Amino acid sequence: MSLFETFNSIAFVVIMMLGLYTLIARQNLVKKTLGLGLFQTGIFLMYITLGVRDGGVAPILQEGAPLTYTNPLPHVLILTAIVVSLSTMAVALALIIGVREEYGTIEADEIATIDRADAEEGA
Amino acid sequence: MNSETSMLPVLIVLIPLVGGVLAPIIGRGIFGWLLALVTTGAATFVSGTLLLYIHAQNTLTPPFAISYPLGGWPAPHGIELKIDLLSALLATLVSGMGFMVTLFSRQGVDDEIPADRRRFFWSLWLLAITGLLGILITGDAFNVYVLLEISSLTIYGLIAMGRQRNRQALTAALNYLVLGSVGASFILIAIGLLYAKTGTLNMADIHAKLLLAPVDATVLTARAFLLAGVALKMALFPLHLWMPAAYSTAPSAVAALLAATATKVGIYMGMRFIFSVFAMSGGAALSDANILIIGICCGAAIIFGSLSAARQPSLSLLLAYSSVAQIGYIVVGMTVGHIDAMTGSILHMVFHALIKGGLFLCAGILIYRLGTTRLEDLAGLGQRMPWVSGAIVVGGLGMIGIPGTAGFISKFYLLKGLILSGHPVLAGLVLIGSVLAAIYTWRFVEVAYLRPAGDTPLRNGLPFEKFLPVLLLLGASIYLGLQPGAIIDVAHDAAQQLLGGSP
Amino acid sequence: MIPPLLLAILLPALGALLPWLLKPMRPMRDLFNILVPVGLIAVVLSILPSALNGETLEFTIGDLGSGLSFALALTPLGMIYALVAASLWILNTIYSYGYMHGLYGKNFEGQERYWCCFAMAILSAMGIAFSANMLTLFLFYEVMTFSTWPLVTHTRKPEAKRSGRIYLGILVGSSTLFMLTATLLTWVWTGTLDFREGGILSGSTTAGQAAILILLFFFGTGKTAIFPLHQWLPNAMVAPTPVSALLHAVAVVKAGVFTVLKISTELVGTSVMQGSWGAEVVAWFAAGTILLTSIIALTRPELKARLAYSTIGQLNYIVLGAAVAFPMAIEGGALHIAMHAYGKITLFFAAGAIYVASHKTRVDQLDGIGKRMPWTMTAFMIGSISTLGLPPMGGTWSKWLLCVGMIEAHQWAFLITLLLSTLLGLGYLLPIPIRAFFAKEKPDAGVTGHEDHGEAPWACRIPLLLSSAACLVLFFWPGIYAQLAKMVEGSTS
Repeated sequence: MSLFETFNSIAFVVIMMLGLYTLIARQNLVKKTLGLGLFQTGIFLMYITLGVRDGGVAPILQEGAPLTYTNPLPHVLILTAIVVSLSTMAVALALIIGVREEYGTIEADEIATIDRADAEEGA
Repeated sequence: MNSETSMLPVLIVLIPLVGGVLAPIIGRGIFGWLLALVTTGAATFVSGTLLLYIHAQNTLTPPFAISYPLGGWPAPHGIELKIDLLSALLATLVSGMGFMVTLFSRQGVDDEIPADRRRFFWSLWLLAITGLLGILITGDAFNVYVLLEISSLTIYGLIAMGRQRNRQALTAALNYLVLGSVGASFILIAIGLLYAKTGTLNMADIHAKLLLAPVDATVLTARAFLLAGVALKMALFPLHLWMPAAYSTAPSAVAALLAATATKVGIYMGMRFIFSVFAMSGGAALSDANILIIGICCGAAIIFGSLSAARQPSLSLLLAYSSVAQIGYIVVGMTVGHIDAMTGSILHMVFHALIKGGLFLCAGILIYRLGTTRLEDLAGLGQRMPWVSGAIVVGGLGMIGIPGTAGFISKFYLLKGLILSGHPVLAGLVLIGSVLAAIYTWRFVEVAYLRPAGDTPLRNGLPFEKFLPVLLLLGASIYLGLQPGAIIDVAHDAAQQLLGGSP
Repeated sequence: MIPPLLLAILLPALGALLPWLLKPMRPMRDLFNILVPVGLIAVVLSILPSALNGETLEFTIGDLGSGLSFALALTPLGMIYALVAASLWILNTIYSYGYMHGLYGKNFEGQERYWCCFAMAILSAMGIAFSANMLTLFLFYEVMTFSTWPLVTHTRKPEAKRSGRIYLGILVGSSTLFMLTATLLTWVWTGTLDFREGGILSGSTTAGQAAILILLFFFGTGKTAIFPLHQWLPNAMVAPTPVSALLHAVAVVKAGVFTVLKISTELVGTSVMQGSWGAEVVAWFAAGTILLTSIIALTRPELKARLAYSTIGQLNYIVLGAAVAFPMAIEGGALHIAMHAYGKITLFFAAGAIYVASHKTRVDQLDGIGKRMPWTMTAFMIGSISTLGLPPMGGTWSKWLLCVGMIEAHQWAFLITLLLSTLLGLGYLLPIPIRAFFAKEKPDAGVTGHEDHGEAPWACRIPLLLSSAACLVLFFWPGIYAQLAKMVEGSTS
């Protein structure tokens, strides 16, 4: 593996972990969503790295001697995955707006406190 | 395949997809419901036809599966639909349950969803069913991920629509979103690693290439990520935490649909990947260490799920935790790789969908008439709503696995398979689970029948279209408990295809 | 024409539905409550000639593949149980009218459920009696547990709820954990669950496997109230007396002992039973239960409790016979199903009649009551003698056969157990009718409001007299039951 691929492999793990950490440790719902997005971005990086070829050129057919092209398939897959990630974030943000309307806050710990108080009241 | 049936595979997904797209446009008022009814009915009809066809062909020339290349692009470069017996069976189940719940839900949706949102509800509904059906019939790994996300996103939305009745639906949906996305991302990583290893995305092709290559870290990592992601989607202990909140706060129709279908599709993904993609020829699909870990999770699911169910304050939560336990049964049968255990697993997938779907529909009736499913408000239900109570008891007996119910048949095969494959401890766990199921069923029975009638006001009447699906589903569970020959046959052949290495 | 075996199941099913359907038409409902049991007797009697001839009728309800099915078949043992259940159903129905109306009035709460569950219990009894394989028996066994639970908890009081939980806990627990496991293992090891003459184990299982199966089956049949699974029976006394009569003479307990006899003769096979250490263990537990409960019965002041413990002992006579599995023991056990049923139901009917008339529940309140309730106490006397196995009552024959069976098997300890328990029985049963007739009524024995009471209502008395007459008759003409029992014994050699 080239230096570039090695660097990318470490990078995507780091990005994924950063994303997961944000997702778990931060209380603010929007920050959690950003963490999720970060996590998924790391995965995208991994896929794209898979397609790289030593000395590969952009995957556009050219006249002349057969060249090594980078693999376009991962790029296509990632485009789809990016769209999915985008939709997920959109749904998440819509839900967060709803939460803000109902609870008045978007901090997860405060929401949990309100829910617990509700449960005790109703019980 | 003759030309009339050649389009059918893609229609399974196409019909609900078109319906889902049309719903926001033409779905005002009752038309939304009618559209959903017609599309789910058509999808059921198509899947059922394919099921009968495939089963008949499979009996003649096993193993048999339909292969449909989308757009005419041949596999392995194009995306193909691959429908074998298991896929067809589950597709019929999912679309059939979709149809039943749709039939049931007109008043419920009117009751629980604001009027200006209903056409969007039906749109999300149909798109969710599209996603679920698509996962079942596709033969391409990345396609699985895409359809998984389609179904998941729409389900997050559907759950959140329960906010009118209970604002915790929003947090439940958000929680599920986060966990579900992480799970789906794990599956994506797994698919990426498999692609890196084999250079193809077609599941059958991956399998062929994996058989030739030595098992190395890439493959094992891919499998690990896949199992983790799938375990989350099927709510296997300890990754089940999103489920009880989601099922109890969602609109009642959504809860019924999810309980019956979403987890089954998750289990299907597990089965398909483990046995049709990762399976090494000649050996068991899962190593003993794997079976041990998964077995511990299943055992914990059964015990913890059943005991928790007995302590829940409301019927919806009780049913959700009961599902956690029942999923433990299905997965434990799947892991040991024995034909009878797998048959039992597949049977239990079908029967649990019927019974739990019926039970959640009953919960929906309770919400419709009482506004709540809290057990303390259900006191004396046996007198106030005798038919619904009776139906819930019948469903509960099915969960326990009383002979005469379908639950007994699947349990019997599970037990046989577990004993024959040398896992008596797991068999014992299944038996203990039955006794524990009696505890939480009896909690309901005591509340409904041994307490004087409560005074929560009863509103609306009981429309026939709400009770008919309940009757059909729970009636089917009794009928199949006494005459299960045909369904056992199908499940057995499906298990045979799976364990023999699906084409 | 509907096959008679199926009809024996469908008719009680009809009886279960009718109370709900005919709810607004009380007289019609009452009429059918009598007609359906009578119809069942007719159906069962119509099958009797075939049974006596040794014919086997068969009927399959549903096929599950791989050698499993839900099916019915006629056997002599099944005929005994079916005859007992059918004949006592009608008596119990008439008695219920007397008892429930006498205590709670004509509109007693939960009537429909009461009649429906009675019918379901009889349905499951018929199913058990005519089951062709272990799977079918297990099915109806479970149906019986669940259909009798609402009867145990009928009064809805806290103690009834508690008893209901114990009832369900013991019966469902033992049947799921032990009986189902045993059924499954049998299927896995032998490939079939069909009941066959000589059993299905010999040749397919090792001695160790057979012993395990025997232990699991016998301790999985909680309805026999073998120690340590006996606790549900005394607790179930909170139920109304007709329910106790049904549970403890007719349906539930007889289902248990029938099951163990059936398993001993046609699943395990008597030759395997005789040689197995598993059967030995069971026999010792049964003997221990007999002695233990006979002693406890002596200490109980409540009449129904005494009868309950007596029942546990009597049941375990049959379990002992099934475990020892020598021909006479089996024959005695089979005959005891019938003899004990008539004797015990007489005693319970009498206890209930006493309660209806005088609200008395304790033995020490019954001195001199014979003057006020001569019919009832005479019947009680007859029932006691029959239960103790003394002439001139029917119980003599079954006890005789059981004792001979113990001698055959060289099981002297068990013989002594049987004789000892009879002696103890003399202590806890016989004094009751004797003191009723010959002791003077204590001045403060009456229950307030019912001091000056007479006999029980006729609806209670008639079944009482009929069942006690049966005890007497069966001594002189044990005919049908004896013949069927002989056929059971014959099929084992």
